[in-house]
Amino acid sequence: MRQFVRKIALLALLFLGVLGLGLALIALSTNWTLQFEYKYFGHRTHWGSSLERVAEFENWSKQQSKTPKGLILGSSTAYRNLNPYILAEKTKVNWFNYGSSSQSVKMSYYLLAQALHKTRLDYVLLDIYPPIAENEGLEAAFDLLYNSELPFWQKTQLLSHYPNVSLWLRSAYFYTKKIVPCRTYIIQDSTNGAYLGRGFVCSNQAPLQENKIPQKKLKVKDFETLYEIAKLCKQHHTKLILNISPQLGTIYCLDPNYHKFKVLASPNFQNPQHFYDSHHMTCAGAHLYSKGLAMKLKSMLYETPPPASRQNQPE
Amino acid sequence: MLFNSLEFFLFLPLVFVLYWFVFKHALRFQNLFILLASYFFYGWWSWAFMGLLLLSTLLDYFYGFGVASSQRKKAKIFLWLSIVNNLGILGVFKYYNFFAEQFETGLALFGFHVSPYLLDIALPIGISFYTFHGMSYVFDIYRQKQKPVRNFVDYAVFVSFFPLLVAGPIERANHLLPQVQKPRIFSYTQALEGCRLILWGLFKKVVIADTIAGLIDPVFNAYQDYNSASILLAAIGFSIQIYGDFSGYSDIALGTAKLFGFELLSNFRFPYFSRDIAEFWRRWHISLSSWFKDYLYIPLGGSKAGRNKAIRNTFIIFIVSGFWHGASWNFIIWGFLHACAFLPLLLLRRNRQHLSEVVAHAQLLPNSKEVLQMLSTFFFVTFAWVFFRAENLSAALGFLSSSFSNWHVSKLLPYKSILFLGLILVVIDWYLRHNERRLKVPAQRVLRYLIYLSMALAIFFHMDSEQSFIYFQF
Repeated sequence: MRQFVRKIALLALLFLGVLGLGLALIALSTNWTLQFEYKYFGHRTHWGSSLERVAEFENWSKQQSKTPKGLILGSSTAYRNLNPYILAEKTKVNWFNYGSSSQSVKMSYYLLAQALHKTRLDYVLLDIYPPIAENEGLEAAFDLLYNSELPFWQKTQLLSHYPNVSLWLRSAYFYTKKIVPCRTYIIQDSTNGAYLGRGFVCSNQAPLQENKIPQKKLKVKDFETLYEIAKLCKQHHTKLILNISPQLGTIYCLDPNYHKFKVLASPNFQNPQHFYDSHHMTCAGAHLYSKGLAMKLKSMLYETPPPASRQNQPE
Repeated sequence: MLFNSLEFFLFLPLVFVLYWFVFKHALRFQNLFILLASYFFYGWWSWAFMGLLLLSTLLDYFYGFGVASSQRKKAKIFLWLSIVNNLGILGVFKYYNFFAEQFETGLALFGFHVSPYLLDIALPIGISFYTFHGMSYVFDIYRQKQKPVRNFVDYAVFVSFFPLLVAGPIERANHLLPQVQKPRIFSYTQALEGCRLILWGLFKKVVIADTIAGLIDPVFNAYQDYNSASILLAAIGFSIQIYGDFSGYSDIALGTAKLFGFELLSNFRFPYFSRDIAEFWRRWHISLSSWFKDYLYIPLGGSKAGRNKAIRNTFIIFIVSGFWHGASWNFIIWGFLHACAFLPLLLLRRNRQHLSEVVAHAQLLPNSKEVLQMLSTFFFVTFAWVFFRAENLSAALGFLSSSFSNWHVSKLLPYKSILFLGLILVVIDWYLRHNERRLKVPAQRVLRYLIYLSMALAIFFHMDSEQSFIYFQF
């Protein structure tokens, strides 16, 4: 039996060795050609601005501010539509937008848990874009592992949450590139918009002229993770607020369970000229939307002072 | 837990090491451990449905004692209790909604409109398999081919052994139970054969079946948009996919069982090398077809009860077999089509022509007659698979009619990958065709290791997303 175990272990080591060698060769090849890297892993990219956002968040989390701190979580509708500077000005809360591409509620939970390890948070504004909210968050994990400098322990935790071979390979490649002498290549995409700091990305794309998207109704579900987030916030005396991100031509039918949370929604924000696609806003649109939202948020935040105002949050 | 998931790659070595290194000294501990590991394996998918598995196991375990009674009347009562219990579980969880909908449609034809209550529950994975395990145990006791097992753990291992728990092979008590009850000694050769089977099974599932699935699914979902040639190729692609998927699963199951010292029943013997439909059914999902033969076809009289009864029995067994796969008219029609293809062979007494030897047994290549026979069988099977794969009956008919009428449409599916993967499968299967349980490997060590390594790498790079096995839904 020992002979068998030894043989299997040797084969496994051989397999890992070949795999490591393959990764190293691809990394090395970037000194001459980028095609192999692109074919197998794709290039790192500034798309979504995770690189800048994560780096800035590390500093922001260390700040000892006298004003309350608030963290915005969510997908691209969060980091493109919610301007933390406007929210900060109106609500007197130090907001940071920690949204990331395709960030699902599950991924938001994970990021929030890690953020709470690093800093005290008074508020969490969770932006919910229903088509993304219910997915597993694999795309967001790809983005954060490959396109950001998230600390190693956080990346490892992230990997353990997503047993996915591609994700693991890409992560292994990321670290292989740090060992092997090779070229670092990060794509700048002009259509991505400008990173304005505090996690916010301002779009430079042209607004829509009319809304061709037909009216539809969308049901918003998945409370399990939301409850987990609420529980986590309660443990840390953080006030949780949900924001239902507007989508052109879509009426959301909120499940009655949502009424257990503090929910902000702007169903009438439907002018196509404020959007560059069905759910992402132009810079001017985000400005206007954030202003309106800040007013609602302000009245919600100060209807009762923190941290005593948490009785509406579910257990 | 799926065989093609990373969790399983952690679970399997851990269970293997504990089983052979920690619990090897006492059979009862080894069996208890394998039972707990099996429940963990099942519970990983749903702890809620564990109760159903336990209930089904417990009931058949107790019915076994009743059926063993020397009073035939009492034995018969327990036999029927077991049948009602197992079919009742299947009826509720698998067939209730189908019958309720048919009832509603039937009444609507006469102008009565009712809206029956429909269940909103997931189909418990493996339900069709573990209920059939239990029934075969009780049937065998009733037919005095098997004695009831005293030790509950032994019986529960027979029903719930994790390699076969969710999609078979459907074991027989007199084949597996003696292996459970007998001390097992580690065999290096058997374990190595097991690893080869696991590797080959994973290759078929992950590299061949899942890749093809990704290519042909869009065609099945929107066949109207594709050219007829692509539709035909998608149908062939599905034949390859379902074979790679299910035989891949079965190989992993057989290989995993070998690692623990068990030999399971074969489920596939290169079915696409069959020369007629009768041979196909001796080579495709063998454990299910032999189950229906032994517990349904023969008790009904089989082919020896006169011509009319033989025809009736043939249709019954194929239609029931189709219905076993799922509560839908598609599966019933799929079974019916196979019965229609089988019937001429039965009536002409040519259904037992190719009983044991595989095609071109002693030759390198088949002759032209054999090629024609294999191709005609394959194309019939492919035609029937369309009903199996399609969402509903109208989709199946639409798919078939579009395969004739869409020659003007320009959209094509990427045919090269399908043909290439199909070719790999055919060539390797042809090379292995003499024995499905012991894979032939090259004698040269370097070449052998290169093959293992290439296959492992191909599997690893294709494990992008865990695709469930098709037969898990049954």
